[in-house]
Amino acid sequence: MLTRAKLKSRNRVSEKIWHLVFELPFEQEIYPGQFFMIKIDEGFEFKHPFSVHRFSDGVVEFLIESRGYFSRSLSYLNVGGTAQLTGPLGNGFKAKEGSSVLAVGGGIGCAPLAMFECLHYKARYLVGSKDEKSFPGFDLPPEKTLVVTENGKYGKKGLVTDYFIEFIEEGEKVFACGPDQMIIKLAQQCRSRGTDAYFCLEAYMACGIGACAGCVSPLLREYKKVCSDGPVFSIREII
Amino acid sequence: MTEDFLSLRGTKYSPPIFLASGTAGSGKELLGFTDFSYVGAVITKAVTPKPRAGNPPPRIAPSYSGLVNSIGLANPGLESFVSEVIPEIEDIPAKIIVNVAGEDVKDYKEVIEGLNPFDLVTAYEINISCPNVKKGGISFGKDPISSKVLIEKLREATEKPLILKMTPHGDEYIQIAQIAQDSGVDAFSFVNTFPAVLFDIEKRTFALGNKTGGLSGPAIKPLALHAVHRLRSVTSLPIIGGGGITGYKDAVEFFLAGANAISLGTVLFSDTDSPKKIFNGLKKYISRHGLKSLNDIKLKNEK
Ligand SMILES: Cc1cc2nc3c(=O)[nH]c(=O)nc-3n(C[C@H](O)[C@H](O)[C@H](O)COP(=O)(O)OP(=O)(O)OC[C@H]3O[C@@H](n4cnc5c(N)ncnc54)[C@H](O)[C@@H]3O)c2cc1C
Ligand SMILES: Cc1cc2nc3c(=O)[nH]c(=O)nc-3n(C[C@H](O)[C@H](O)[C@H](O)COP(=O)(O)O)c2cc1C
Ligand code: FES
Repeated sequence: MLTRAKLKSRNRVSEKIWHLVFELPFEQEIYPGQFFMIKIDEGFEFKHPFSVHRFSDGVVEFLIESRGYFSRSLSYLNVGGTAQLTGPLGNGFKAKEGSSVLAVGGGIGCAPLAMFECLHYKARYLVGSKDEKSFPGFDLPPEKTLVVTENGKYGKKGLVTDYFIEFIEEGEKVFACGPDQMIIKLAQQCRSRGTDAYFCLEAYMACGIGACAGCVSPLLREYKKVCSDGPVFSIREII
Repeated sequence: MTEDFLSLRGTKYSPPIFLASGTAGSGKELLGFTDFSYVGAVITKAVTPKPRAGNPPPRIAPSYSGLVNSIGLANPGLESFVSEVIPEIEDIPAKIIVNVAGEDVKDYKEVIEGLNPFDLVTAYEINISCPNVKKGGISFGKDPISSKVLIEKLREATEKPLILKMTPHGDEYIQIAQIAQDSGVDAFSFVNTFPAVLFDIEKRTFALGNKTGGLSGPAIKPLALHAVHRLRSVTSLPIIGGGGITGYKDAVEFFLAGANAISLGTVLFSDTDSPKKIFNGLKKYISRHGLKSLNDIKLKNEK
C-alpha cells in the first residue's frame, strides 16, 4: 500500500529518539519486523525504511532515531503534516500459537519489539543501548523487561549479550534486532544453547520491495534480499 | 494527444515509457505500486546463462541526488528465469523486454536462444555497459570490434528487436553506435550508469563492497542529455533515452536531445507511480505547446 499519511502526534522519547504516530487506515495484520518505506517530499527523494513500532485501529507508530538528514527531517515533521508511506513490507516474524519469545533489542533495534505487546504474544524483553540518551525501549512492560546500558546509567551495565545466557528461559525462542555485532554474538550464543532464533537485519535499501537486489547483508550465508526475503531470517540463514 | 508509441520490428510500445533494467525487478515487484497502463515495457534485471550471486555488500550507497550501485548482475540465471520468473510475470499488464548480459558472445546467444520461444519476451536489451562486472559487460561497450561481432551473431539468433544498451563513459559509443546500426540493432538504450566511487570516511574503506560502481539518478541528467544529443547526431535509429529523469520536464529534455522514448530508473526508488505522473505531465506539456505527439517535441533551431 502506498499512501500519504498524516502525522497525528510526535514526542521526544530521549535525546535522539522520537515517537511518531501516523494516521493510516488499513486492514492487514502487521508482524514484528515489518517496515514501511517513508519519504516526505512530494518530489524526488529516496525512501527510507522504518520498522513498525506499534499499530492499532487506524494508526501506525514508529520510533525514529535522528541519525542523518532524512531521519532528522522526519523527526521534525510537524503534527498535521504528511509523509508518504509504502508498506507494510517484508516478511515479519510469525510466532506459533502458545510459543514464548525472548525479544532482544539493541539501540534503535528495539523499535519493533513493542509489536509483541500489540499482538499479545507471550514475550519477555532484553533491551540495551549505549546510554540513557539513546534508550528507545521506553514502553515495554517493566516486569517482563531487562534493561542494559553500556555506561550503566540506566538498568544494568554492559551489553545485552552479557546478560542473554542468564536471562533466557527454557523453551523460549529468540527474536533479535540490533547492530550487526550484537546479531553475530547472539547467533553464536543461540547456537551453543540450541535455541531457535530469528534475526531482523538491516541493510541499505533503495526500493524496499525486492526490485533492485541492493539490500544483501554480510550476515547472511546467501545473498538474499533483506527487504523482501526478510528482514527477519532464521538462525540457519545467518553466518 | 494522439497515441504515442515506439515501434520496433512491428511491436508497439505504448506509451514510449520504459522501466529501466535493474530498477524494476522482473516487473512483478511493482504490481500494486505502479499503474502499468503508463508503461510501454518493463525492462527486466539482466539475465545471464548461469545464476550470478552478484557483488558483495554494500551494493548501494547514496550520493547527492543519486546513488552508486554495484549489484553485479545478480540474477537467478536463464533456467530459473524460464521456469520460475516467466510464469510469475505472465499476467503483468505491460510488455516485457529482457536485459541480456554475459561474459562472451556465447553467453548472450545462449540467453537469447533460450528466451526466443517465449512470446512474452518481446525484445532484448543487450547490455554491453555494466560497469560492475569484470568480464563482458562494459568491456564490449569499450571495444567496437568485439561489439560488432556480438551484434552480428545476435542478429542471426533472433527475429525479435535488439536494443543496444551502451555506456556513456568515454567516446567509444559514437563508433559503436555506427557499427551497431549497420550490424542490425533496432534501437539504442542510452545511458547506463557512469562509473563512480564513494568512500566510507569513518571506516576508511570504499563505500561499496565491489569498490567501484555506477552512478544513476538526477546527478547524471545533464551528462546523459549531452550523451544522448551526441548519439542522435550519429544515428537515425530510435533512442530510448534516460538517466536521472524524475519528472515530465526531464523527460521533455530527453526528447529535445533526440530521444524517441524515455526510460525511468532511479526515480522508481522515490516514486513507483512516476510513469503515470510523467505521462500526464507530458500530455499537458504537449497540449500547452500546441504539439500533436511526443515525436513533435524537437529543438526549434534544429527542426
Ligand atoms: C528494515 C529496517 C528497519 C529500520 N527501522 C528503523 C526504525 O524503526 N527506526 C529508526 O530510527 N531507524 C530504522 N532503520 C534505519 C533507518 O532506515 C536509517 O537510520 C535512515 O534511513 C537513515 O537515513 P538518514 O538520511 O537520516 O541518515 P544517513 O546519514 O544517510 O545514514 C545514517 C545511517 O543510516 C543508514 N541508512 C541511510 N539510508 C538508508 C536506507 N535507505 N536504508 C537503510 N539504511 C539507510 C546508513 O547506511 C547509515 O548507517 C531501519 C533500517 C532498516 C533496513
Ligand atoms: C540498482 C540498479 C541496478 C541496475 N541494473 C542494471 C542492469 O542489470 N542492466 C542494465 O543494463 N542497467 C542496469 N542499471 C542501469 C539503469 O537501467 C539505468 O540505465 C541507469 O540507472 C540510468 O538511469 P536512471 O538515472 O533513471 O536510473 C541499474 C541501475 C540501478 C540504479
Ligand atoms: S531494497 Fe531493493 S531489493 Fe531490497
